[in-house]
Amino acid sequence: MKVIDFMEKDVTAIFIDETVEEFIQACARQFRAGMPVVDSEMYVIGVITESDIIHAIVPSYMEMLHSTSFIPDTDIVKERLEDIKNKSISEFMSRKVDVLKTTDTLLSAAALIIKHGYRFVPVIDEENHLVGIVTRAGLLKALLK
Amino acid sequence: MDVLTVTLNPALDMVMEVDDFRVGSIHRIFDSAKVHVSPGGKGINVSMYLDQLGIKSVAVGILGGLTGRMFHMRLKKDHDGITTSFLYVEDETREDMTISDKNENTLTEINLPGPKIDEKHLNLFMKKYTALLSRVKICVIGGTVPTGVPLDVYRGMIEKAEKSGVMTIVNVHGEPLTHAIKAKPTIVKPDIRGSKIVMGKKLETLKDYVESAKEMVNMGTKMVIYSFDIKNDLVVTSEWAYLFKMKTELKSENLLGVGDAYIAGLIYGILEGKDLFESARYGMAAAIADEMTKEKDIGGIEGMNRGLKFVEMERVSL
Repeated sequence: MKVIDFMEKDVTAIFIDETVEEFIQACARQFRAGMPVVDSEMYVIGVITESDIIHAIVPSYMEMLHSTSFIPDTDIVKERLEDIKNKSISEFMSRKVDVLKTTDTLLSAAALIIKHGYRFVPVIDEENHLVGIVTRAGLLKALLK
Repeated sequence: MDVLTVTLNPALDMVMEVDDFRVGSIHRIFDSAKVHVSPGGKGINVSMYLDQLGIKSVAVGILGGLTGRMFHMRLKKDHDGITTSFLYVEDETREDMTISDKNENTLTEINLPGPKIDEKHLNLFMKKYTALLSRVKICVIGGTVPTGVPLDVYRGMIEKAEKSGVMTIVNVHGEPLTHAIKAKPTIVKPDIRGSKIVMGKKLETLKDYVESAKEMVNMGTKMVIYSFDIKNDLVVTSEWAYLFKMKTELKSENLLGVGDAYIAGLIYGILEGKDLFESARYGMAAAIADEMTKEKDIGGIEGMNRGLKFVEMERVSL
């Protein structure tokens, strides 16, 4: 089975100059974990996920602690989000982006998802335009058919 | 991707079959087949018909809330060939509910309000629209303008498309149509279901329709298609005017969405390299094929080709 057969034909994406707040709202409204980042001609130039934003607002020292439950809840995360919410997503997105072609196989899509832990992978056509995304659920649903 | 369809104000259509419907009574529906939920809106409908003709399109519009999400999921489930790109807002997408009582032969409609769109979201939408224009040959713009959006919004959209070398087909009504015409869209199919007043003039006789179409052609539009006398279409260019008719022996099953099927057939002809006259024949054929079925279904290219046999043309003097 090829990617074209089971990808989600949705080209919803975010532009590089949109803000963190706009990205969060778009994800929340569409139940998405992230989006491809495109330029003005719909070429994929990156990917941004909710994890990228959470990573940016949680203090780095938290990652070094074995347990964080003893740390009292403060507004630090909220304040950090307040600081970045009007910034462009370009500061937080990943510019190194793995993409799938419509002619790639389901197996190669599954391998890419497993290798990097991706929740979704953008799909491009022969001219490198965004034409859809492959999601974990979409991939599994295709196998059930 | 060949076609972009724009529906700024889509609606989730729900038709419930309730026999002996009475105001003030409780009606329980036990048969799920009597409830039909479908995504609606002019551009969306065109995309659905194009899908039946094997033409790939990308449908764009503004959705909102959980109704918007349901709209999107339903569209994806039923029409896998349509690529989507919707901008989501907080307010709920419109819901249009129809209670169909076949015993009493009545239709009761309740139309819920749609989302209010602010300038920020409109700008975001325009950005997405402009980006997608670079990838298509034809852009279809149809339907009402949502609350909060300026009535001349289609004018700007047509100008952007034509500037990008994209052919535009416009199917709107009222003041948005008056503004849209100024941008010289390639083809106009005025929506006159609600009002027969176009650009300030009331249309009654065939001559009125021809004059109105000529006015638009003189302003720069290449072809104008008017639905005339329910089952006929008046098609006018700078060189000719024809009434496209359906042979009278055919019985219509349904008139819902017929105008959108027409546009899909027209696009099929254009993409096949036919001239405007031939493309208009395909449009009429698709509309006839749709009229012959109860649902929004033209039976693919075969169904449309069958419809071609029932198209008659009569020249009208300009």
